[in-house]
Amino acid sequence: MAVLIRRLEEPDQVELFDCGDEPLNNYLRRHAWANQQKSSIGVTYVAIDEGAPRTVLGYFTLATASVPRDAFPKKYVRGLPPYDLPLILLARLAVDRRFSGKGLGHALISEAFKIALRVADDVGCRGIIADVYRDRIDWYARYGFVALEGGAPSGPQRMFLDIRTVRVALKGSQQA
Amino acid sequence: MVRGLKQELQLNSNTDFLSDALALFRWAVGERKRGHRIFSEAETGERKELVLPRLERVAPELALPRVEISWTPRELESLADLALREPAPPTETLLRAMRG
Repeated sequence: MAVLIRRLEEPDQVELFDCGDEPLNNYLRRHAWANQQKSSIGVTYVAIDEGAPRTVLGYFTLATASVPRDAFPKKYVRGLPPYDLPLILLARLAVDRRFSGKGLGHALISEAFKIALRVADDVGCRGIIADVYRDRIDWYARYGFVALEGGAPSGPQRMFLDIRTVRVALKGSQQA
Repeated sequence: MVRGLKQELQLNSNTDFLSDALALFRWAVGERKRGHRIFSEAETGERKELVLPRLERVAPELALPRVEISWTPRELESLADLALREPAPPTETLLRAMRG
């Protein structure tokens, strides 16, 4: 299976996508295209098999965000640059159940990191954040995401990965 | 301009000219959609990047929309704390991700 990751296109077959989580299925089926093309709320990237190039095997959605400098607690403001803190939001990541266990999640998040680095190089970005299901925290932590304290005790856990760490990883991978 | 290009390319029909032009443009759009940049390279190794404003509209690095996120004060404190720290070294899994 030769997997290609590219931006979601309108003719892509999303109706049969089933990752086992209805909100994630529903987002891809009902909202991803409209959010990308009409509302400009998030850009969705899909993994497809080049042999069946319209069947979505997995996806992730990215958007940019920022935290105004004056939103931070005062004791931290002095140490921060005098600008808003730019971030990339890894809003969703899911793999169809029929294709799980084949390393697609790893391929998808790898592509998300590469896009994040390009965004950081072109327009600036300090880190990647993701709101993560609690049973997936360990998976994200393996890539270096760190849980932020102070979120709701139930529901998704917000996690952060410094873009400088990703950049070091890219350099390290090129030297290896 | 069209006549000059047709002569250079030794094309007689406008249909062939349009077909080739569309194929080239379609390829360029596909490459930029994937985030690939398009260069010409001289024999000396000198490279020039093709940048067309219309093509850049489909490029992923410039096409990420912006969203508002809500934060609790404690989350912001935690984020600021992490942002002020020296970055952690990459994990083995992250290194593997960037190798692919």
